[in-house]
Amino acid sequence: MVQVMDHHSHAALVELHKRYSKKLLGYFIKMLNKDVDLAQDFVQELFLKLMEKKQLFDPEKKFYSWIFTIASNMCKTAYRHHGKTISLHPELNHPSNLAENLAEKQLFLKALQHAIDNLEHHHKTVFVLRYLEHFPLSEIAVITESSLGTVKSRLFYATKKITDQLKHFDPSFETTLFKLN
Amino acid sequence: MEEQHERLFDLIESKSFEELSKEEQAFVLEHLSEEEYTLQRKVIAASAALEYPSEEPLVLVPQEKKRFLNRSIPLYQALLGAASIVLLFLVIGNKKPVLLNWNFSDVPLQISLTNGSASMQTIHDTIVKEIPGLRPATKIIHDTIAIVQQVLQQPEKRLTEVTQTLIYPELNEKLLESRSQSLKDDQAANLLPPVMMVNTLK
Repeated sequence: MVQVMDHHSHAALVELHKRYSKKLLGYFIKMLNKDVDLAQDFVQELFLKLMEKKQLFDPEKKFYSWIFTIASNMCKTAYRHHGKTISLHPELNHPSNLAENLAEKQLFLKALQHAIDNLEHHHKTVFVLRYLEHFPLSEIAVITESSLGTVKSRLFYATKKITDQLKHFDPSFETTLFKLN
Repeated sequence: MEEQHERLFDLIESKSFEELSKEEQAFVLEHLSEEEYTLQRKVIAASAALEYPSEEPLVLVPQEKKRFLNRSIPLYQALLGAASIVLLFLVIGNKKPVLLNWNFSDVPLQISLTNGSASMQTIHDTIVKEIPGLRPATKIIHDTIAIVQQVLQQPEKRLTEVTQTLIYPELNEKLLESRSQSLKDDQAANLLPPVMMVNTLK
């Protein structure tokens, strides 16, 4: 693909955009706390970076993993610059404040969403890639440029931190709502 | 510690608490309660049910070609460019400036062009100038442009008011007194050969 990019830059870029832009946009939306406009900007920026840094691509690696590595690094840079995103839904820290007639499942999902948004960047990255984007662990290791063991450890921590924020929910109700294969 | 977390992760992802062996349960309970273990599994399962905006990506904006002024150039090119500019200024600076001096009197002339417009006469003067070392010869054409003008009003202060600068000698009797000497009284005349005047017209 990179060889094609060398000779037919524009056509190659259009093809890459066609293949990966939607997936990347979904990833950015999840990583950037549903900020769709910012996610769109990130997608555009990523493809420009792709053309500028095409010579850095290692042909032995998967192209798909490579572009997600760039995407992950872009999110990391944004996280460093802006720090933790201010919560858009502060009421989720106190679910009891919400309207009583709100369905418990929706409440749980919103609290879960909020907990994911507030994870540390390295924990959020692996969690999103694994459970929202459904990447294999080996690819997450490549994308995050870390070992498989580190990825597993970060996933455990990420899940634990989320769970700590959701302890006030009665565990019994979730068994009827969600099932893990 | 990381190895224990790896193992916990593997167990949470693969088995419910009830499916764990006694040894695995004992291992889990060293770190988590049964409720926490169960809740972690629910969190993972619930994550798949999260809803995110499903947007279509924007059309790719092609990368703009770098404009001339925005282009980055190597340092040596920048230095060469700067040196060329300095050299150019030095060459231009050494040339004698052409000065055109117009000297007007204190009272400016009122000049009106004939028929309200300039009457121009252009004379093409062709000068072939040979510059040593350069072939072929450079041909330079100089145009002489004469503008015919009509002065309608003379300046008020002209020669009429200019003071007389020539000094004329004063005529008096002494100056008019004759200082000539008669030939017969001149002693030197005796030394001259005798001259006879003959009337040839007769």
